[in-house]
Amino acid sequence: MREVRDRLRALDRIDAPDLRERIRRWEPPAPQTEPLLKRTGIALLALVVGGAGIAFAFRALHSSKPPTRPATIVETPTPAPVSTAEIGPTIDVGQASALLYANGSLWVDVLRDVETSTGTVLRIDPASGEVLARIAVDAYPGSEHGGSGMAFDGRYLWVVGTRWSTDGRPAGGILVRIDPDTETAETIELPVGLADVDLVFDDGFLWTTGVSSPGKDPRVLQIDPVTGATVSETPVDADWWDGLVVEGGAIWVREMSGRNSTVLGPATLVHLEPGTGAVLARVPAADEDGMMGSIRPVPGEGVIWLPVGSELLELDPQTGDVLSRFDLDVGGDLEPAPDGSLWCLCGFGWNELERLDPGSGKVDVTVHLDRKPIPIAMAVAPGSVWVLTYDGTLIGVRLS
Amino acid sequence: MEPTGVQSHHLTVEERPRDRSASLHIRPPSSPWKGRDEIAAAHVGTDEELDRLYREHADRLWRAVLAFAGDGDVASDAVAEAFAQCLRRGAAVRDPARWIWRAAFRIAAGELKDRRRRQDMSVRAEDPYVIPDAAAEILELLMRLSPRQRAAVVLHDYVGYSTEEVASILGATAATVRVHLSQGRRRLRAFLEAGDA
Repeated sequence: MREVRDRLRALDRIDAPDLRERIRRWEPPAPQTEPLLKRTGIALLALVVGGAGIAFAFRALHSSKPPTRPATIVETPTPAPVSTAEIGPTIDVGQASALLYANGSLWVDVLRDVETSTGTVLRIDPASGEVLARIAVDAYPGSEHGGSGMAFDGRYLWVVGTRWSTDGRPAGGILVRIDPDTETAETIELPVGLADVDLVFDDGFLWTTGVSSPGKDPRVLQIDPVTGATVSETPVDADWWDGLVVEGGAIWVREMSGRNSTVLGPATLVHLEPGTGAVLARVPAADEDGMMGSIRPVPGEGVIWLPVGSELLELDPQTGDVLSRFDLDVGGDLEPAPDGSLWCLCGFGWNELERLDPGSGKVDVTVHLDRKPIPIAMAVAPGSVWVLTYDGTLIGVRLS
Repeated sequence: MEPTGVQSHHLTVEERPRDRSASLHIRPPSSPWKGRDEIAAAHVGTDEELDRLYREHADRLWRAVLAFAGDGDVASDAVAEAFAQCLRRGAAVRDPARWIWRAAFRIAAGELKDRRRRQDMSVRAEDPYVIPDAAAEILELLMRLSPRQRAAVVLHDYVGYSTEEVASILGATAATVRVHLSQGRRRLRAFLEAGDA
């Protein structure tokens, strides 16, 4: 340790620039807002809509003012207005699980062989709907809805899965690394017998969950994407659990007390100490009627989104404090967008595609989709949202 | 398995901005340092106060952010903005020194995240900052750690903050910082040994 400190002292030899004049002349960057007339129009409209519109009007008129929270430096982006939605194209992809928009493409893992649970990752151009590549992979994540099991680390696409023996037993958790440049796949063995559908990229590492054998030694794995090595394992002390979220290095999993229920609680979101698995905090993950959210918790930019019953909670990942509550009945999937908004497949049939602007607290876009086949996952691309249905159809919803 | 062709039709997006405000409960803004630094530090409101704060912290902060971000321009932008934002907030900031450290690291982290999103991780060849060889070597090794490991090692082992203080700067728990610190040191030591061999 002393050697590390000694070496770090070399940093003192770097001459730091004098920034005083720059500090005095510093101006906040110009916010990307609508013209004043349009902003005023929005504000007036919001005032007419009702009392709640006052907050929205205030936000619209004062969007160039500094934020009120002392530690918040960056202005929250405002989602672009949407007036029309065009459905299409529709693409018959086959039975699919993981779905992700990354690196300019849509990626979907479709089942190739049910016996071995292997898949084919399709690369799709979101502008045209054209299938650009088909990449055979060893992994087919088991997500029934929500499109989990795929992550992008800024360079490679990753898919989690399990090898299955011919007698139907799990034979080892795996990660598949796909190079988008060469469209080739490489399989990496994980030190678990069975890997779950959880796969998150956070803080330079991949995070997934696994067990030695069904129900035994559940744990969270931290994997170095450069070497493929598992660098830490955090035990999870729970009968039954799902929904790994890692945000800012804080590890959370959703625990259920009943082994056989995915709907009825009580359920708890648990903050685990890395390495030891000691519980640092607990947050109820079911509403007062005992209803869990049907979808797993989702990481956002510095927050965790936790669906609970017919509400959506915004949590501080370090403390578990509930920052906001939204009346949103999340069903089939929930996806944060780069503009700060949240898209969900909501409602009883999961067929209401809705956009929530957390800044105003409003659902400002609702697109009715067909109830059958049931929408089960989605991905948000620039200018479009893509919905995967239970029968294996990928539907583009173009927004303008 | 091929696309079944374009089947487009138009829908009108339902214009019903439903009022969610009744069920929206925002936690009131609070100072991250409340309860910890109730002693009123000098507020940054004048050139004199800024000069004092700058003399005490700026160089070390700039080097620490440089070691975290690996880019002199990012460090300069983050440090300048942190000081300037603190200056604009005046008396609203209870502990300017700590606020500036936290803000600078958050701003730099945000820039790094944006770059990853843009996949712009190229090294700036035209970097105008003069970096001695020994410092360049340790900067290069630090960039091989994860961002959190790097921040923990820099703030704890270079700047000298305690793990609790590092946690408050990074917005993490002390337990998480200790893990990142331990992993970061282990990896850095391995890189150093490999380089010396």
